[in-house]
Amino acid sequence: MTPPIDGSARKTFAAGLLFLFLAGGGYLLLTDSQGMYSNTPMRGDPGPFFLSSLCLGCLAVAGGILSLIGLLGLRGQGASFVPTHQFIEGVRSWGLPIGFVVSLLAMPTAIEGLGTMLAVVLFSSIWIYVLLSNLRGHAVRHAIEALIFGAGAALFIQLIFVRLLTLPLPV
Amino acid sequence: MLLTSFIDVLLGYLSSPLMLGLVVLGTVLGLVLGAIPGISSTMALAILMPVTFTMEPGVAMLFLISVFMSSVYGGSISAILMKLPGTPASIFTQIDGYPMAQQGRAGHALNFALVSSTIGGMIGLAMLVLLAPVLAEFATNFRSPEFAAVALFGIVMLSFSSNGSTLVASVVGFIGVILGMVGFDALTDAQRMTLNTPMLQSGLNLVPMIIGLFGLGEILQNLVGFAQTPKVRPQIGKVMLPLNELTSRWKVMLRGSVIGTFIGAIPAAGSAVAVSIAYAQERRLSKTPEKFGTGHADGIVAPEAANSASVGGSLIPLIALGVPGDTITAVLMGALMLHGLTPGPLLFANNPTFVAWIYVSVLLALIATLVVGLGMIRAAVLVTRIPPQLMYVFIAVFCVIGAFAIRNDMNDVYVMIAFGVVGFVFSRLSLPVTPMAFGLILGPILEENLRRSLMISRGSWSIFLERPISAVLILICVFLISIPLLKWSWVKLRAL
Repeated sequence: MTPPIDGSARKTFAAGLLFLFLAGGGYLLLTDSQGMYSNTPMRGDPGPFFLSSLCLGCLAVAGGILSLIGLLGLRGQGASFVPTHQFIEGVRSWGLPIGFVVSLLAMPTAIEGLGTMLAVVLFSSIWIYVLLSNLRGHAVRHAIEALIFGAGAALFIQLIFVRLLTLPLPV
Repeated sequence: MLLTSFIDVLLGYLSSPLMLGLVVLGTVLGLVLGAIPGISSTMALAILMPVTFTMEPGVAMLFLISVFMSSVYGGSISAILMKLPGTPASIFTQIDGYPMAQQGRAGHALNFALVSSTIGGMIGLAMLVLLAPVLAEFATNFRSPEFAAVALFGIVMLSFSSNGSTLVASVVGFIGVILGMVGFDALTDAQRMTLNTPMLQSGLNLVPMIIGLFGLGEILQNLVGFAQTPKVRPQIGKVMLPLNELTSRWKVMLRGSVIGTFIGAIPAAGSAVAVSIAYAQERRLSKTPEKFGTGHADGIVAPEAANSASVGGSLIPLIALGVPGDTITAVLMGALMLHGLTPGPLLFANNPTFVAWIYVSVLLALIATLVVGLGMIRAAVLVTRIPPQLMYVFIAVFCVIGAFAIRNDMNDVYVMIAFGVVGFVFSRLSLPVTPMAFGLILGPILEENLRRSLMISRGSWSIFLERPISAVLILICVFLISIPLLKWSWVKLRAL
């Protein structure tokens, strides 16, 4: 059977596992909530957990089927090794989004610790420099461009969100 | 009543320099963001939503609809000048727009796109004004079973029109439904999936999830395989078109607009479907189909008219039924709910001013897009030279500050980042994220009306089949979900 996601056994298997993981996590959370609930629903009402249980059930079934189809597809293809240069390229291409997310996770702490303006200047300048040098190589000019743009972004945030919309952002 | 409200709102907006300034600002932002490859109309709307938090609902609508309408045309700027569609719906504009630009007629191509987009938008608005009250009047007879069926229909329809497997997309929609149920249950006060934590007890806030899914998620996706956009130096050439070049294409505009409106009005069909049908239809009807793809003006006019008209179409189910027509109207609905406004069939009777806000906002946004767009045709080249990497970083900062702005709570920033990662992972696995957004919005409507219906019928599920509208909608849902199984069975039968 052709894997339903892009015809790719790997993607289908991964999506199946993801669905199973989400269904499992959701089931644990729901069981915890059911333990806290002691009321009796009104007559005819299937209860507050009915639809979520139904959807989680569908998710689990779909996850099971997809992982099975994916697994069968992967077994059919046999083991294949990725050449080293392709593997390194793959890791590099994922490095940017992973680094981006990690630095975004640090943003709230940076905003609270350094103030909004400085946190925005830091985040923007560093990332613009990283992206520019990724494309055109390292150069002092890029660092200056990145700093100018970072300062511009901070000024914009200060004008729009702090001054105009009076948001209580840490200063 | 509605006409009076419309005239009042229109005169009020026209006499206020602040409102007019806001329309122009929204239009410029929409044009610029729409023109940058990788930034869709949905993303533009999602990241600018937080700016409207402190605004009055009518003012917020005016600003957001201006961004929305202008970004629809904005997408065609980079499609024509760089062969990089700014939005998915402008894919068909590039087929004839880019060759025209290569022939030194980029100004003409942009003008064709702008004028047909405006006319298509006006026709879409006219249809919205005519059809939405009729549908809303019809829907006043809707009770809980019909609303539950409409919500289910919205989720399944979107899954059906998503790329890839309908079943997989439906399952993604169910994930949205589950997430929409986190927090206290409105009917029994039971806590669901909250771990007894205050942050989850009030439920997951819709806006950071939308900003994460459509804003941050798209940026992360763009960062994989991040590469320099090709340096293109298109020549704008002459901007103004001979009037007869436009008037002779009225039939093409009308056909595109009608297709756009009706396809757009089907919940979840979306502008990309409307545009592809309009382009294919025009090519089929053309006396010179071989010229399509070489810089034929009809190849720009038809999809642009359809694209813009589909906006009016997609607003019909939103206003009349409270069901978004596509992803972007789902984001718009999120913004409405943020301002305490819930669209639905009773809106025309209970709150005609709200309907008038939307009509006037669409009208003013279309006029502003035409005026600003014409003025910006020569400057459009500059927009396409903005390095996308600068915009990605800036938008990420905007996403963080915007998520915080919702409730002045850093937890919302973490929710936004989490959903950004979810959007990214789903995109990498070729799973559609739009059904999740639909599930988030329609899930609570589905659950509440499903349970109310069952309470009315004392637990009998036949209530959904006893009422004709809900029965028809549920049968359509069952049919759409079973299509993959039917196809598979057909293939097996033929092989025997």
